[in-house]
Amino acid sequence: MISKDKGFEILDKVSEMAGQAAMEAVLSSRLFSVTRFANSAIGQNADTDDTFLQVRVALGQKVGQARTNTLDDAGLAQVVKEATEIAKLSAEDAGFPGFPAAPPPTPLDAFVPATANCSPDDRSLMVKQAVEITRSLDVKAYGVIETGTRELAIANSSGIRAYHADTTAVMHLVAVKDEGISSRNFASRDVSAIDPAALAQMAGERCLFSRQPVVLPPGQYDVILEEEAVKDILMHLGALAFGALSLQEKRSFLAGHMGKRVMGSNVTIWDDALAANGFGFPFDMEGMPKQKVTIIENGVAKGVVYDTRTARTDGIESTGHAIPPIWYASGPMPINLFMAGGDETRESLIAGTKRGVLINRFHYSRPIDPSAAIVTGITREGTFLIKDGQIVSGLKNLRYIQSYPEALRNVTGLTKTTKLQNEYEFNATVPAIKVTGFNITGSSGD
Amino acid sequence: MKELLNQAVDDAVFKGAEYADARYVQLREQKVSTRNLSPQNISSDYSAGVGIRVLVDGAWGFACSRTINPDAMRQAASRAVQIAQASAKVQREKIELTPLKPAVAQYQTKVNQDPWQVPLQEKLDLLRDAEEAMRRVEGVTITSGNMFFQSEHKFFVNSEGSSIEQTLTRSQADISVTAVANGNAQTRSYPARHGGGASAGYEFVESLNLADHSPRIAQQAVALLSAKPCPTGLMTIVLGGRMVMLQLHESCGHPIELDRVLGSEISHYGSSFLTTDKLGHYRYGSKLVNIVTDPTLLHGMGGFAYDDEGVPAQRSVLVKDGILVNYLSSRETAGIIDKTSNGSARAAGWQTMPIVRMTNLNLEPGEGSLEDLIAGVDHGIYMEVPKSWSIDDRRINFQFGAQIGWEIVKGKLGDLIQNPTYAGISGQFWNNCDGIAGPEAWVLWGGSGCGKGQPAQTVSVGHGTAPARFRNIFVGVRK
Repeated sequence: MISKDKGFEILDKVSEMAGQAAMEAVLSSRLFSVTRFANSAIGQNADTDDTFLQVRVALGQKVGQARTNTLDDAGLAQVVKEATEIAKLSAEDAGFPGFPAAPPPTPLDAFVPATANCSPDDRSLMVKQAVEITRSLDVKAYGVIETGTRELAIANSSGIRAYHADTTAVMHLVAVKDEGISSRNFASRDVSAIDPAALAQMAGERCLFSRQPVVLPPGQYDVILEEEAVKDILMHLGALAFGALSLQEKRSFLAGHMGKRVMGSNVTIWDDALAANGFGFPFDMEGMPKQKVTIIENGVAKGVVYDTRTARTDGIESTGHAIPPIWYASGPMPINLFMAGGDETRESLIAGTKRGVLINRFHYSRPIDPSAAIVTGITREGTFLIKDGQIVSGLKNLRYIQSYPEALRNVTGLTKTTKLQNEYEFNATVPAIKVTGFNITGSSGD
Repeated sequence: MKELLNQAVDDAVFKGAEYADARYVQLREQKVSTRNLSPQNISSDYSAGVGIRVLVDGAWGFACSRTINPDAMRQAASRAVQIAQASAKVQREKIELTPLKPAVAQYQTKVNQDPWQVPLQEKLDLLRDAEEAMRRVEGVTITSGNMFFQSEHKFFVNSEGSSIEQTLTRSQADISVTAVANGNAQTRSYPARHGGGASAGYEFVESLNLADHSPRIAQQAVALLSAKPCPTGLMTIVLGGRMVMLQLHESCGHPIELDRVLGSEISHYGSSFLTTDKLGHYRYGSKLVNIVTDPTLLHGMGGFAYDDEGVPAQRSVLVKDGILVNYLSSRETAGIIDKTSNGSARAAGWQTMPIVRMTNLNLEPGEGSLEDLIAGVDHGIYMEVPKSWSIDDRRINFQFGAQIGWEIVKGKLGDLIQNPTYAGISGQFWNNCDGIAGPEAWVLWGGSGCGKGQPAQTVSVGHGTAPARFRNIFVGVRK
């Protein structure tokens, strides 16, 4: 790891090298270990290093940015020089709001030494524990364990100075037997919270139940979406509609509907990077402290998230949701979403379903009409037919074309418990939900 | 550098590795973007480091270092061996690499105009000219332009005696325009969104003549707002070359990666319906369908002289007259089907292990023109430029959307169609191919955003395609 002191030492050097110019320096270091297993054996097993220093220099409204992973003095001098040269050569960016000032962010205690120190032998043991269970069930295990540390340090010429370090651990396990397949996952700051044997047991048992999947004809069905599928809905809505830019450009389904009911009264969604049970950072990529933002409250559109650029357009303060400027211009995004639970359990949702489908996970979902948030995707790793309150068989994977806002208008039940789900930089803590009239359009068994 | 890498390999072997390789990669990138005439996200990116991969007791270990000195190399080599020893504790069968003749070679992309020597202002001017030409069309709401340049300098050595140095340069550019009205947003791009690239210098960007295409795509974006909705039902479709590129990439390229077939990606990107029991006899497509991998087409985005295991670039037939005859493979995977690697192991950078990837994956041309294909349709739709794509984890059931479509009526293009989509089953779809345009219509397209692996690895790929025709395809959204 780089450490807080060393991180600020680097940022201070960058600041000094930039001279009088307005500047921002972001030092991000993610050191993680990835153990992938397939056919109940470890395949790829790697330590990897994603460290970069990103410098933005502003000469008036002209902005240049450069990145490097070389952190010696020569590397720092070079990245400052490149950012400055790019700024000099750039045309003026009228929308550039300047580098923000902000009070120090609220510290977030999120570093677990057991995760940071997780060794290759520790991860091998976890795989071994899982494989012993799947072997006993006569299914094969596939999956990944990823453990590591993240550090983010930011300083700018307006006085922002922020540092955060944390740990993350994720295990995803897929059980396979013939045509049967099922998966379970678990994400936590603390690797010791992961129970590989329990994940293997649950995935293995479900896999055996889905060995002879049948084809379900297209139509509208009641569906129970487990947490990973619900995460997919929130991830798309976050990218398509919950950021200020899409609203300002009127290409969001929320345009013209703020303050109005857009989802069911049992749906409440907010973004909260500071929640203890999430994977959030306490500040964004501009160094602005993260604020909790209520987006949907009892079905009513309440707010969207802002970075400094979009905040200036609306004459308000940033909510701390800037994404790395090196990404293509997508605007601010919420990446630590929460959805309120209800009073059901997974079992009660199933028991209350006359005829429906239990869906574990969506795959390769993509918007086909972004402004309406209509998305197509396909189920994977466990899709089951429910009849008269019982799971009766596995199903071939199902394709759907569905308005995600409409799905959240048709929620008839939510589990009380919620679960953290992670995909790249996006995190959602969500319940399983029951949705009526979900639009199934095909099947991989067609 | 060569001495440092050789030292790392020697260290790994001394500590117990039966095989070791070391790769130095220096990656330099530049992004130039404009949006609504405003420069945005102009950036440069530099990354350098060394990755060391070892086999111990037939199990992989990989470690890397962004610090490049003898001590750091020794530590990385030790760590890679330690990781491999841990892997070996949960191993079923020992990994064996297919034989490879050691190579000592150098290669660099042919570049006429070094993109790093072209002034930034010249790049911005080119994008602004293209944006201004789009914005002159009434009804346009959002315009943007992107350029991306990448220089990948890498040095590979292994314990078998290979020593290969390559410098690969890639250039890419595109423009997009969006028209918004009444809650409807329609986007058109040229050549495709994040989709026009080649292994070449700045001359490739200039050859795109972006501003010449601006008025056309801007007018189309506005016209699409009031265009007919996509009809629903079985019909004939003709896909333009860029849509065939998408179809080829998703429904053939990924499922024909042998590591995926063997299960390495099941928990993340998925597996494949092209299982090894189908090799040599499975009818993947009609007799017109011939698919090859060919990184020797050096101007393609997937062109190189050697892959990241030191295997020489080679042209290899994967689907012959519609029959599956081979896979994209690596030294680890090829031996499992009693073949040798066809040079498809690639790593996105120094900090990731090579995995099986597409290079230049091409659909061989047929005969005739796009107009000939359309002339053979009584009632159908012509679609062009990818807009959305979704396919299941075994690459069977897909749903693809295009930015723009036209009705085909009695062999002629008719009214404009907005949000055209089609869906199908991969094997059935390619068997319904009854026409592929000829070499005159064949273009080697390129893109830089193909993702796979954990940690995620994004690489550039090329796809040579011509327009093609498919019968009895489900079009539109099934209710």
